[in-house]
Amino acid sequence: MNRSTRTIAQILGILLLTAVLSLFAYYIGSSFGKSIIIGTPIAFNDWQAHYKKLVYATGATGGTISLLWYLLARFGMKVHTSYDVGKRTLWGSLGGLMLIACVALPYAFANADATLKMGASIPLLFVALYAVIGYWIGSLFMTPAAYKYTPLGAEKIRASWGRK
Amino acid sequence: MEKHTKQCGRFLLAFFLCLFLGGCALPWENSQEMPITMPTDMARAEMETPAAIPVDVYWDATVSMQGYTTLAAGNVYRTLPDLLGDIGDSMGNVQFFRFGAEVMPLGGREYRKFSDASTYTELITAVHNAVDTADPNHLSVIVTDLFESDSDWSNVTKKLKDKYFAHHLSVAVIGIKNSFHGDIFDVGLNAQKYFYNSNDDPARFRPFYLILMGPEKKILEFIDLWKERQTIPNETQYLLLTENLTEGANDFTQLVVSEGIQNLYSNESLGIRDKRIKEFGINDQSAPAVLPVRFDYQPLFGTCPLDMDHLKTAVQAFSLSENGEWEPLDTNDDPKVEVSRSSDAPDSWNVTLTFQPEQTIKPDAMNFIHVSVFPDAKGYRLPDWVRAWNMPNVDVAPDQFDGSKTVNLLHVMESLKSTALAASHPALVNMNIIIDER
Amino acid sequence: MGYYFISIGGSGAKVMESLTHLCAAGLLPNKEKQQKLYVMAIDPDIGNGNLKRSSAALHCFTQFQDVSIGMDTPLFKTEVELAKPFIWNPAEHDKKLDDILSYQIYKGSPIGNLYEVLYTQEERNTFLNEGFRGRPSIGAAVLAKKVQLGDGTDGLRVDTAPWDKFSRLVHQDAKNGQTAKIFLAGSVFGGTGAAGMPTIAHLLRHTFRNYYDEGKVMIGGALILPYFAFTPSLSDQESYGIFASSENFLTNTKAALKYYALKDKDYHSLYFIGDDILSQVPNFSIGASTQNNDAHVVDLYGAMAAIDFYQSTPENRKEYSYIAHARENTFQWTDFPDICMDDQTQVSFKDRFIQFTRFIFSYVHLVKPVLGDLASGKIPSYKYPWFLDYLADLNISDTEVRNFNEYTETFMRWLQQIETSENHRTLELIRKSSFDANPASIVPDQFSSCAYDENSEVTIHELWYRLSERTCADMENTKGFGRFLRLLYDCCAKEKEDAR
Repeated sequence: MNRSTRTIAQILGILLLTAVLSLFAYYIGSSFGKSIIIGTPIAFNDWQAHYKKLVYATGATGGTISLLWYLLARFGMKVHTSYDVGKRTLWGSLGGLMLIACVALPYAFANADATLKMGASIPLLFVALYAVIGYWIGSLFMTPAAYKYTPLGAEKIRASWGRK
Repeated sequence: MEKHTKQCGRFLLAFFLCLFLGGCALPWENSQEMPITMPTDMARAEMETPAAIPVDVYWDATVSMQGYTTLAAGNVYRTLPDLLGDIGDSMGNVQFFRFGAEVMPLGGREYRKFSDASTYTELITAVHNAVDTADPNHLSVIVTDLFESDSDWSNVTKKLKDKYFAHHLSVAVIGIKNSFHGDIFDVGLNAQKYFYNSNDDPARFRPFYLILMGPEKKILEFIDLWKERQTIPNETQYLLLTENLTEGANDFTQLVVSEGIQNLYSNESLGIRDKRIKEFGINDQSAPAVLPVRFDYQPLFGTCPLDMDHLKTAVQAFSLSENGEWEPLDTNDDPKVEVSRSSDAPDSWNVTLTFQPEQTIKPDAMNFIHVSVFPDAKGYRLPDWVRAWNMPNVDVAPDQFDGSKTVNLLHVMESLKSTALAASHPALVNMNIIIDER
Repeated sequence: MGYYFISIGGSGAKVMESLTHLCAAGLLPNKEKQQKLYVMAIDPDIGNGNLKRSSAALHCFTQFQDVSIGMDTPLFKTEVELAKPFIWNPAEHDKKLDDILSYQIYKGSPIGNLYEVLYTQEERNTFLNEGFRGRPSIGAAVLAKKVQLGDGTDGLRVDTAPWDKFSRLVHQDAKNGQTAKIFLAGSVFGGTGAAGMPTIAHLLRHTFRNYYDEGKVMIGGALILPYFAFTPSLSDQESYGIFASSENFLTNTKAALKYYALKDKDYHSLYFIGDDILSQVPNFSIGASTQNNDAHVVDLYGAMAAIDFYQSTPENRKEYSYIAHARENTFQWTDFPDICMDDQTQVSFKDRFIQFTRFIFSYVHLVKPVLGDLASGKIPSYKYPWFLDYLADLNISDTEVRNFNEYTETFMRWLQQIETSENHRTLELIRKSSFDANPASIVPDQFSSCAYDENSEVTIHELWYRLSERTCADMENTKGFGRFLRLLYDCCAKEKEDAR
């Protein structure tokens, strides 16, 4: 596979992963929602319809942040010397941003939308899916070669596959 | 440069393709409109009734009714033809009939002759025929003194039960005290005839009755129009025998789910049109489900007063079979219903349903739970006026005959009440719950 | 064995230096590891600066040439064996001509008298530690004495090192059916080279005369003509006694060329290389370590001459070879011939040299600065995927690593000297502005365009990417440091990733 093909494949991989995680977020979150709305007059299907919008928004944010890391690593950051490499701070910052988004978006949506009653389980679910699996684990597998060991734990993971 | 443009194009195409695929995966439609109907046994009268309903008035034209037309003072009876015609026209169109042994329709404005004593020529009173003739889709009014030849009221109540109570229709009795001057026939075990003159003394007025048969709402509408247009202040009493015992529906159109609900969440994904049925979902199959509701007990006008210490509860569960029929489930006596007075207000009551999902409902199926709170026979009493207007069917001396009462009224009303209790199952609360476990 | 190189004197040593780098770049015509290059130096001036510098690169190369670089690559494909001792000094230490020729024995005799006529007092009494002082006559006499010339045997003293092993290897080649190609390089205008070039060639021919006649030994030579000049100060003239004088270079050359034209019958192929514009040597030196002239394009052509000789056969050899360059004061890639390999394939000198240069540049720029800190853990290794993939177990103090690091410095210095000219000559091979030596460094933005007449997409970033994403082409036969070098070399190839 040449580099262009690999690039496209990895970008598609990020988008596909985001889409799949959004599906999981929707269905698992919906099961959490059933317990969240108990005791409220909110009908589950209404809650679920509003929750879907939240999933779209968080999925789009997660996909964008993951894609941003990838595109920066692939096209944005150039190595000129042996000292402008690594970029783990940038990777970590984007991950932090993802974490914040996973917690902030659900509560922001809940504040703006009375139907979307929120519990702690939804942000935790988003953190697990989008931040941990989507961003972190996704970046372990889909980071351009020049920065392939930048994500935390990448060394150990790749060593376990025998590196290349 | 061209290669970069192609790569960008491929990238954008792939991006939007993924968005499209992702979007397709998420469900767009949340609710499925389903024509859910209640199990046949549980089905109550349709909430919606037609705006207009034909009114049929069956007039007892027997000679014993003559006495109501005689005196002028305190005479509601004379105004009755016009009044009933007017009310009937307001509610739809009105058709009058006279009956004795047979039922005969009256054309034009012949019904106005019922104000005249000469109209009353029939010798046999067959109310049962009027009941037979009555169309259950109409509001039927029988004007009578509640005398039935051969005293065969059990036949009448049976017909009322089969035709009305069993089909979620109601029967009401309006008793009006009216001046009377004439003969009263078939009194006592020896069927004696008495002459009775009430003069102008309202305490001596003799009651006649309007038996209303038809949809509860239309009966109530008639009663409202009657009360509105009734100008002569004769004593009037009402008895309504119907499924409902409270003002407003006692189902989920009016019931309020109170705090303390456990393991059940509200859902509207099935899009059930019948608002008396509420859809819930079970969060945890292994945990008990608790559904508390609150209602305010405001007795429906004319209904039998209830002894709230004699209430019974019943829970039935059904599951929808493959051929669309509701099949009863064996709940192992798991569901429990508690009724208690609320501390918030004297007329406020709490009903709490508790059940174990694993024992009560069927997994992987659509389930229907019906909860009813209803009075037992002891708790469902006739209003006091019935006893007050009752004269036992015994032989009495003429000077002890009280024409202001109706012979066997209590017997007749008790019979009607028992029939209504057995066939209509009047209930204080009807909770209809759908739980879709598919 | 196959290839033999003997550098004679300082000029020979400079040719040897150039040949070392071309050998490392895989520009010798042998198929990988099938031929060896045996190298020795002849110089009475053991401490000669030129010799020291050129042999430093060679010694470094021999220390790392055995890295497991794998098959099917030109990199380090020619194994080099150094003579032991590497430098053969025909004159002993602290000896004068009188001592070497045992004048005292012949004093007063006719031979002694002839000797006195032929050599000045000064020539006879000068210590020969710094070489033959630009006097071929001194060198010829010393060499003749040391190597049994004229006593009926006329051959090398093959019972002494390093000639013993030299002789053994040549015999082995002949027995194995290989042709031993012996190439000599030296100046014709100086002392050691002028004396040694004809003498050693003659000695070799006589030592291996049977093989020579059968065509199993070929002798070639690069005769370096004058290309530099120097002007000693008055004080230098007074303090140094006899020394080479650049005013005599052309005269000496003329005389030498006459000899080669009329008398020499020993060389199969001769290459004459010089420059009509003489480079001015800034600091005069009579010899020893201070005699350290910068590398010159003449040296490079001398090394190219050796390569041309090695790719020739007895049937297609050229007795006298000429080469021209297109523009008067400029040398371009087109002025250097392609190499014909043993299997008759043509290899572009330009492509291979550029790839090797880029290989060294990238090592110097990306790897060398951080390798030590990476190995010791001072720098987090996740930043350097290639380190984790290939060098995680590296011992930074391994001989191979240390010597390769040193070699890269020598290569950059040599390249800078080649590219720098003070006599209005320009060399348009590698852009001078793209790198620096002492210490070695490059200008990263010019990495992809460091070579003239070459459009390359191989930027530093592109190279980094290739290092991080590719696997070594020959995983089976490579390991350790060699595997990494192989990968780095392959990644420096010109074609773009997506062009494949």
